[in-house]
Amino acid sequence: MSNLRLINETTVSSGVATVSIEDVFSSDYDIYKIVSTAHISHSDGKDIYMRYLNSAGEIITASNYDTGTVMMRTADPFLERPSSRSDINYGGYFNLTIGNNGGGAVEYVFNPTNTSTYTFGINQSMGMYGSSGGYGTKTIRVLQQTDAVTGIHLYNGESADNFGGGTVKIYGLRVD
Amino acid sequence: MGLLYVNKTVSDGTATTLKVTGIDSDDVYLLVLKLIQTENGNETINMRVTKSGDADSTSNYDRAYKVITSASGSNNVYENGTGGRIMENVNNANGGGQGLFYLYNFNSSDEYSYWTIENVCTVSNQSAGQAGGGSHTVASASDGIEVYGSSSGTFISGASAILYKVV
Repeated sequence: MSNLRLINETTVSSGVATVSIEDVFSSDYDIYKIVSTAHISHSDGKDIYMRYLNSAGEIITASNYDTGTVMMRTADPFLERPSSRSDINYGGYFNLTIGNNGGGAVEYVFNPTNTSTYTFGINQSMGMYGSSGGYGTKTIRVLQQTDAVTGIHLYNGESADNFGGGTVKIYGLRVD
Repeated sequence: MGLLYVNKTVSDGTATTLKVTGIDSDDVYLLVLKLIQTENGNETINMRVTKSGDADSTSNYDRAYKVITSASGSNNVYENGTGGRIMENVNNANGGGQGLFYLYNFNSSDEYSYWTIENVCTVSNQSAGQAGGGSHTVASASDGIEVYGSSSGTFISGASAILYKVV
């Protein structure tokens, strides 16, 4: 039996503005794997951003996030993004997607409920940047708080366009 | 993809190395590191492969990776080191560094040992990680890894090296 245990599978409804997945991180696991095909319904590429949820299920918007992304687009040299990456109020990129053409992301989250440590994330994603072609990202993120984190919040960081669908699966990595 | 637990080493607060062995097949293995933190601020963390349980410190380690950071990134390459750098810097607070390393060809006696590097660390003045890989350029079987700090720091209680087989 695999030590990756499925904890939550969320179907992203077409037309919703945000996706909050609550109560998925607990003391049962220290490391989680998130596999997502969530995408934004828009003709151009739109960035899905990520924040964490606290133990009350509230979105953490304090300026305590650090992030860094290597952005790899077929039409550009590699870029370091976002422009502001230190002590910002969101966790950075989760995935960039386009309309029904979709995209995918894999993220690992470390120590979200450990109240002696920060919450750490490693993400890799691939999507499309409008007519400019493929758009990949490799991202690190750190929430510089030691309060417990219990879930994730995904939203369109660039515009008011809603999600078009997809699924988000969250696994716990069991240590025997 | 499934992961089967193989072995782990967890520091009791006195360990200066974290060794895990148990690689005995041609499968790909996944090494997971968490809470990699010592008493030394911004300590560099390295890795060696083990041969029959003993760390190999010969000058045969290569590495190449991109540093991804909340400050300003860089590239890092090095040939023929005595260990493979797997975390640039981990601070002595808030959990240090966490990472995932896929291990390839370790069981082979006629191929080199390779690993990918993905990590995220808290550093005193930024958050940073790496994306890339390393290799041990000796064609002999490796049965595990040993993790150590460049300043021989003591790993905090709970610092863990966990080995899975990818199935």
